[in-house]
Amino acid sequence: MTVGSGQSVLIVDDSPVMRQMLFKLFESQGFTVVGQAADGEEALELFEQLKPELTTLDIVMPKLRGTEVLERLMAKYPDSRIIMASSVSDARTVMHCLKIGAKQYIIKPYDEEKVMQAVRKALDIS
Amino acid sequence: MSISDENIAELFEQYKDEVRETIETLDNELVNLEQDPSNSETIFSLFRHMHSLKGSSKMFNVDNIATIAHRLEDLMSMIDKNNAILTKYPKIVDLLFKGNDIFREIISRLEDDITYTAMTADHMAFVGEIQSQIEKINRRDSQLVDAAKKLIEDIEALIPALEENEAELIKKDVSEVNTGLALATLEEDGVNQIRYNYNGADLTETVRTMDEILGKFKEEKATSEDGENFLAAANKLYASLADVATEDAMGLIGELGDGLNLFTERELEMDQMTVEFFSEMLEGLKQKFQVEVEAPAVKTSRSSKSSSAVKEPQVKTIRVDEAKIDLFLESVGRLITKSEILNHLQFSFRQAGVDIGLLRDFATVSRTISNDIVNLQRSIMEVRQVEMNNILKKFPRLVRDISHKIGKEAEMVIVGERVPIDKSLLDDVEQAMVHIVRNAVDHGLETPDERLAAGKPRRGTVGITVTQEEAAILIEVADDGRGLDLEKIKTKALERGVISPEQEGTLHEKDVEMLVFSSGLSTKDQATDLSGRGVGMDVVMTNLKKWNGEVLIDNRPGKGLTVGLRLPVTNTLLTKEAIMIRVASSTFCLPLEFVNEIVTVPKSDVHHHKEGAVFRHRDMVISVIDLKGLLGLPDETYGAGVPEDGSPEAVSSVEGSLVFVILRGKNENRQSILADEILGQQKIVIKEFELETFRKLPYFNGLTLLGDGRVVLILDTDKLLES
Repeated sequence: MTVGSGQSVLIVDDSPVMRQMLFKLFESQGFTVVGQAADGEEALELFEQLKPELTTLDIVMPKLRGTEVLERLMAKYPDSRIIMASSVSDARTVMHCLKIGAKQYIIKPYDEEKVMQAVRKALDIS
Repeated sequence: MSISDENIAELFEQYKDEVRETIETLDNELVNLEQDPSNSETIFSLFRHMHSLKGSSKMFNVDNIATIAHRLEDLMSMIDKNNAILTKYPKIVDLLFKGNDIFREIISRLEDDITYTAMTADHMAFVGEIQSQIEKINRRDSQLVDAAKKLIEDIEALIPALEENEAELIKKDVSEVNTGLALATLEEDGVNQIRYNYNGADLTETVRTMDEILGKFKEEKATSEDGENFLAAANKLYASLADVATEDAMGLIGELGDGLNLFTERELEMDQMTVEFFSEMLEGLKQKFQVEVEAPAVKTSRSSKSSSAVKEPQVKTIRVDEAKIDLFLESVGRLITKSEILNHLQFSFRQAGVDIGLLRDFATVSRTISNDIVNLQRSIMEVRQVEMNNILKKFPRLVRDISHKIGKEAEMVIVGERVPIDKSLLDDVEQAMVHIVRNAVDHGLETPDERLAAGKPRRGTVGITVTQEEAAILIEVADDGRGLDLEKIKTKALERGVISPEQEGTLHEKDVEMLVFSSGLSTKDQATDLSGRGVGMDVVMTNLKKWNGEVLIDNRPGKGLTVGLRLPVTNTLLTKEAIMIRVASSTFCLPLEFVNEIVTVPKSDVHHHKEGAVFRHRDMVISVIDLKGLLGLPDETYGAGVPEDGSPEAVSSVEGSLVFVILRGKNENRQSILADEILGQQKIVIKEFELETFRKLPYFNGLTLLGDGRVVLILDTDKLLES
């Protein structure tokens, strides 16, 4: 049994290797990765185009920080399911993201279990 | 299914490629940094790459790179916040280059030996180097102390060359600064001590509270008050953990966040699973931080050493420390005025024909001293800064309480908790914000039924956004309520005699909006005990005026209201940037914080009405204050006025066009001053008039001494705008 059943996922991270890793992880768990963005602006563009069911969002990225991407997305699409996946771990950032609507916040380094646990919660998969 | 080993091996290859690429980028950026140490883009890019390197190295358990990158990221983050650090410690660039070489070494060794991921002795020594650099910078107060010490040395060197009475004056100031220094150093140790104790005691107390309440939840005896107390304690725990800022703490923060999410989603209720979750988290916390939570009854005077270290928090002394800082600030203030004497001396030396070499030496020292003072001032200001969070944290509760009381539903969104603000502003800003937020909930937001009828979500939103602008802090309180009803405000203002019937016709939309801030006006028909008495909003104005703040109103009838407060940062500094303007043959000084814009307007575009001249600029009608008329200066502006001397870079009103200085008013109604010439911009120290006679001057609020010894009057924009 895989966790996912074809749900669409957008991966946002400025590191290609992190994107690749998440890509493999999601694909192996039955999700469809519909897009990958390497910076904040690209993330907004791709989100508009693809309207993914789930988004993983890094914070420290070129052009636009993940926290801003989150703010903008939540303002426009308050029902978005977004998981923050970052190595930024100060409490205020974590609190802030959760407060403005991120479903989960996972701190790097994360492993398959941690990611899937967050995904389950974010998508209400039991 | 999961990621296979082959996949991992492949990903690891990609990881190494990425690190190699990052190393190249870091090399390039470091070269850029060396050439332009203040380039904030380069600095941020370096920070970001260190951050990514840390993240991905952690994922692949390459501990050595992860650890080094982590420390370098911390260093870059400090520089990102204050790039003056690089000028002060240029060796940091070498440190960064060295770090990059170590990354290169590790990556190449990893090719042959994939277990080369642990820290070697060399790596540890390097991390030690970074750490000591960070500590050096971290002693924020030490910057202040350094600056002050240097200042004193320079001044003392100068004393023998001075006249006796001047030397006496300066000696006195030097001894005051010395006292201040001693206090500041003391304070540094004191504060660290307090912070440490506070954390320990705080953590224990918080954990105990959370434990107790969890027990009640477990037995299903918890009340809603318990729920709220738990939330408050958990939030406090968050803050304490963030202060500790170790890896362990961060892990716990993640868990705490998960738990709190569940807890708040269920409106402060807990099922047994959540209770379990929190209990486990707290157990982990107790182990990791060696928090001993003993029942109060067991505590005896002979208790173990570790618990005696966790005694009553000694926070109270902080108050005293603030006063010391103020004292220090005052003596530095006096010193600044004295440094003007140096400028004068330099001037008179030149007049007296003192040897040019000596004069040059004197000028150099004098310049160094004024630089030192600026640095010292900046350091003091930094010490005095606190985060906006100090004020903001109480608003969610306030909004909740008010809305509950009057049967409304409101949600609070806050952005900008970390923006720094000068401590001296805290009380006034908080008071003003309380009034605005109360009004937003009480007057702005509709009842749930009204909202639903208007097609809005049942629950209203009140948002506070704090933005740091270049020379100001902008605090905006926005609601999605009904907005201002201008007609109703006008009617009320007439009724209460705030405006006269004659005035009514001449009021612009913006003027009506500003009436909200006048005393004795409330448009809510029924006064509530919260905000309906029409007192309160005028407090906002009084407080703002004190700090030369500005109110901005964005009224969206039916959709909401945004009230912005803009507070210039500069007004807490002792020196101000100002522009010098020539009006007729007189020179005046105008602090830059009151200047909105300087524009050149063709003479033909200035229209004359019987109330005075106006011109249009960016869709705004800007009226011209008749300064020459007010001051009784000859006015040939609209005749054949041509400036007598034109220095090359000076902007001046030449034939055909006029230069206007648009003032930053208390509201959006803009007014301007016609300047015959803008002479330049410089730092000034404002002196208040000492003689009673001068205080009666209608349009000036002080004077300043220019470097050349000239005395220039400072225009009082408040009075000008009222004229």
